[in-house]
Order: sequence, then structure tokens, then C-alpha cells
Amino acid sequence: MAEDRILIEESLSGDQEAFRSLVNRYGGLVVHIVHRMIRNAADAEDVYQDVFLKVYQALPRFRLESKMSTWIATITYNTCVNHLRKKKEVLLGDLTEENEEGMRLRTDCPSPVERAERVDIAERLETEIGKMPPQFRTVLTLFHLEDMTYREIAQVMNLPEGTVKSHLFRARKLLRRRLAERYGEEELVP
Amino acid sequence: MRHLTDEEIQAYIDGEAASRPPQVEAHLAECPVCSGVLREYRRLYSALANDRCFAPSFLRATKALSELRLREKAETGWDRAETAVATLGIAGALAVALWAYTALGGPGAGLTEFLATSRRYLSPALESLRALANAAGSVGAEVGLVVTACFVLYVILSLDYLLVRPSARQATNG
Ligand SMILES: [Zn+2]
Repeated sequence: MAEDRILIEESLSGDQEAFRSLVNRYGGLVVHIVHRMIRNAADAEDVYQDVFLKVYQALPRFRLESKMSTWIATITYNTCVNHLRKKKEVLLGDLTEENEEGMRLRTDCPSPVERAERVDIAERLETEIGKMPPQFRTVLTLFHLEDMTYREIAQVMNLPEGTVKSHLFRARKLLRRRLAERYGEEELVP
Repeated sequence: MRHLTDEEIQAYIDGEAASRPPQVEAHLAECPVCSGVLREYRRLYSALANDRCFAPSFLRATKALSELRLREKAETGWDRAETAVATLGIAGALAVALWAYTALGGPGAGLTEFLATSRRYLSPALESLRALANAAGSVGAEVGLVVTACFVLYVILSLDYLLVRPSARQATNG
């Protein structure tokens, strides 16, 4: 926190190096949110630039009472939301029935190739997360990768805490089932 | 015997060890089905906290950042042009205000004398402005009103740009 303040003050007085340190410190957070929300790599690059340009421009308005990570996450989330809106992508979708349907079909008749495939769990997880609506992806990212509290996530995404909790619960429930069904019978629990 | 729900198992992992309900603990100890689900959830949680899959994104982000610097430089020149236009706008606004003030008769004798002197210095500019006003007047009062409104808006935006937002621009230019 104290180090953040020094870096912010130096950035405001025109020190490019200080701003670069801030970017390095919070770059991971921004990359996590952007790449979970924006699946197209080229678009994600643009959004990443946009976010840090906005952070730079808004820095004089940042109040130190709030947490830098929450503030940057909010800017990042809003930038992604605006981008998805421009691209007319569904933002507020739900975990659909159709998803569940597809899942059941695959459980009933897993292809031999799929069963033989030894797919890395992280890769499989990313694929499954990618099928979810952006809001669910972001909740998972902020909670599990950034260790944010429900309240912080609610603040970043401008959602009620209850919605954050239920999004998290439902997303994990779906992911658990999907990973279980793809990981061979010995781990598939009835 | 009722199995634990997904919600109960997730809450068990999320919660502090001290606040875990003893009956949930007891069920997990004796039920292979629920303890299996718990194991799966634990695996999911650790996979979700792993950011290995972001490595390629980090590389692309670094590349994007080097381009960010170029964009900052490009914006400086544009900013200067904007400042020049805004300054011209304010100078114009002041001239018009002065002209309108004197045209309406101005205040007391002392000031009128001062304005008369100023008018001599500003006469070329005032002439052209008057010509402009006459032209607008002949087109019609409505058009004159619209032109004036646009001008006032432009002046307000210029003032905002020069006086209110310099700190924000300073941050952009570094
Ligand atoms: Zn059970």
C-alpha cells in the first residue's frame, strides 16, 4: 500500500519508470481479467493497452483510501464490458440448459478418442470456462486467482454480493461435473 | 442417509476450519460418495488458482505495453494542436464579449473612454466581427441564434479544456 502511494506520486510527477513499476505490479491482475473475458487474442491486446491508458489518465483521480487492486480491476472489468458490448457479445448470459444437455450427451457416449486423450486439467478447465458467459468467468477469476473477497468482487462488477456468491457456486458446480466426466471412470463419482 | 449438497461441500471448503458444521464433518468421514465429491472440488479449486495457462497472454501483454509508449508520444502532438485551437477560441470569445459590451453602450463615463481607446486598437478585428454579425443578421434571426449558441458552446468547451482538465492531460503526457 505504502509502496503504491510512492509509485503513484512519482508517476503523477511524470516518472515513466514508476508507472512501469505499477504496470508490472498489477499487470497480472489485468491480464487475468482481460484474457478470461475477451477470448480473441488480438482484441485482448487492444483492451490491455486501453486499460493501462485509462489507468494512466485516471491516476490523478485515484483516492488512496481505496485499494489499488480493486480500482484497477474495476477499470479493467468496465473496459472489457464496453468492448464486449461494442462487439454485441452476450454479457449477461446464464449457464444454459443447452450446456447441461450437451454435457449429458457426452457422458452417455464418450468418444474413444476423447477417453484416450490425456488432456491437461488446466487446459480443459480453460476450455470449459470459455464456454461460460463473461460474468461467470470474471467471478471465478477474481475469487480464485486474485483472492478477492465477495465484497470486493461485488464492488468491481457492480453486482450485489448475493449474485456474486450464487455465480461462483453455480460456476464451480458445473465445472466440477464437467471435469469429473472427462477424467476417466476411476475418478467419476456417481 | 442424505448426501451432502454441492452447496454444502463448497461451503465446507470456503469456510474456516473452526466454523465447519460437525455433522458435515462426520458425514464426510464416513461417506465415500461425498468425500469423493469433496476431493473433486479440492482439485477444481487448486486448478482454478493456477495461472499457468496465462503464460502466452503475458507475453502478448508485454508486447502490447511496448506499443503503449508509442501511443503516448503520438498523442502529445495532437494535444498541442488542441491547446492552440482552444486558446484561439478564448481569444475570440474575449473579443466578442468586448464588442458586445461596447455595442450595448457600456457602463459609466470613465470606462467608456477606456473602451474607446481599446476600440481604436481592436478596430480591424471589430470590423470583421461586425461584418460577420451583419451577414448572420441578414440570413435571419434564427440562424443568428444558432450560430451564437454554437459559439457559446465552443467557448465553454474551450474553457473546460484549458482550465478544468489540464491535470488530466498532464498525466497523459507524463
Ligand atoms: Zn454422502
